[in-house]
Amino acid sequence: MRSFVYQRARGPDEAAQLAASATAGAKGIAFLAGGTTLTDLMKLNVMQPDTVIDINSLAASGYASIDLGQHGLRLGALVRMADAADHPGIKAQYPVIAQALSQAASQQLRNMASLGGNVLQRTRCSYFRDVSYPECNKRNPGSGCAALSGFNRMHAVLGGSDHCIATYPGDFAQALMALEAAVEIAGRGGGRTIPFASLHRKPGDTPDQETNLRPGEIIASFLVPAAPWTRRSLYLKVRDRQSYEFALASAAVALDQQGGIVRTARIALGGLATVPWRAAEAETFLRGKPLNETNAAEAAGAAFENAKGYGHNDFKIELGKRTLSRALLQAAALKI
Amino acid sequence: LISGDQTMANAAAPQPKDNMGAPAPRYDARLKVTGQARYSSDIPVANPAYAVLVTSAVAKGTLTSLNLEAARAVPGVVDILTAQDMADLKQAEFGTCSTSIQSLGPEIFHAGQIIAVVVGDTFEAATEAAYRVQAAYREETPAATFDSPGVNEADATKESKVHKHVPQAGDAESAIASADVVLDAEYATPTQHHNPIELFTTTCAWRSTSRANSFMD
Repeated sequence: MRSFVYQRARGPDEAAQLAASATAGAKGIAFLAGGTTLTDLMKLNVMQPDTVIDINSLAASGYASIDLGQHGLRLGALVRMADAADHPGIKAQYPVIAQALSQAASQQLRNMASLGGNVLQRTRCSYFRDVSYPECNKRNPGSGCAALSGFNRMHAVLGGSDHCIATYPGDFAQALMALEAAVEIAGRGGGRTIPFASLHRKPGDTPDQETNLRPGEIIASFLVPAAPWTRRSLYLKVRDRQSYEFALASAAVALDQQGGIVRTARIALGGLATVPWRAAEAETFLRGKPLNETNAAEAAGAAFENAKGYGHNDFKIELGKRTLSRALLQAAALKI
Repeated sequence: LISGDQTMANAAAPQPKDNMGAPAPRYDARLKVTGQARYSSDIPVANPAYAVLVTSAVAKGTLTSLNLEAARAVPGVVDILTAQDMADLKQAEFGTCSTSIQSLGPEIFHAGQIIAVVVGDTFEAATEAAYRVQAAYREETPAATFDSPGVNEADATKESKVHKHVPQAGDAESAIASADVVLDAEYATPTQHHNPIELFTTTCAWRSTSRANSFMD
């Protein structure tokens, strides 16, 4: 492990100041919340920040609060995954969020990991995580992508490029996508709010740039609007084993359904794409239709029309379709 | 193979639990599940040095160079062992293809083969230095599955240098010939690793000039 400077920010303004002054002459800074990704990748030598700014004290500034009201849900970035997963109001009114969180990682990790850090979790691509592989455009821009022709069973079939097919690994992000959440961002010169769908960037030819956060900015909270469809929502996760494992395919689904007819469907896919993936084609297909097996399968087909397999991960296209199809039928059948 | 006659005795396939003995609680189960078990790295020793392994990034080939300059410059590094330091060790008969420090190269037999051992005053120093070792390889195509080029197949029905005795049990051929139903299919199993609770650590303590005690797991 390389030496680094450790600083503790007492509030959001100080976090921004420390980040700004550290950026001046440094190779890289990183914010520390739960540390479940950062310290792991620092030990693996994948991330080598010169400065680590601990933002856990921002809990005193409202960063660790859950506010559930009639207009929606506000989740502070420092809320621990386990606390949101176990929250009775979230379980009842936003089940897709509680389910996505409770199926992620292990209880020990959920106790540590923050929601803000969770959506920024780095990929599990083994070529990214093992520095003995010289080729990784994410870790070492311009070096190539070993996964394209390598062992890519876990890799993305949606949203990849010739430069990167690393899967976005998280679960919670798909729930936020499906519920059309927004992200409150804090930084120097005040805050801003963006749609959650604008947070992550597809790899394109710059896979090292994973989000649209500017240097020194941190996530302050997530805003999930209240809506009739949040209760008819669920998260279905398919994986190699039933706990403590990343998704091979997952679907976050929220349905606005009346008299057996879908008014609107909101769908995000996980484990299959380079970013939290909104399945807009499937949503469009379902509008105004009953959710039966035929329509569920056709919607799932639409979601994967542009999917591309790279060999070992070819099976994920069919698995993804079945996962989405099953999630849609389960959501339609929920007794609300 | 489903035999029409289930009573046909076959020494290779005893009745369930026949060859199992009496169930016994695992000796260290309680300690392990309650977190009280002490592993070798939990036992403090005076003035330890820490060794961290550098492993091969290629699965087959030859180590052409090992640049240690940046690694040696890390404060706290005591020494770095390479193939040269191992030259005087006798080659183990079956050790070359396992993760052994006897062969630190230059020939690479498998991915993750140990190519250097970095020793430091602290674990952190040794780890950092290990990452700074720069290895270059002449890479060859590895043989990783049954059908890979370069794999030598041994006839399992014949005796060989390694398998001096071909075990015989029952009469498979006549059982197949007389079976009502014969299933002929290929099955593949997924990669499954045995993952022990403890991380692999070894502590060696020199108690005198002539004797080393080691706790290995």
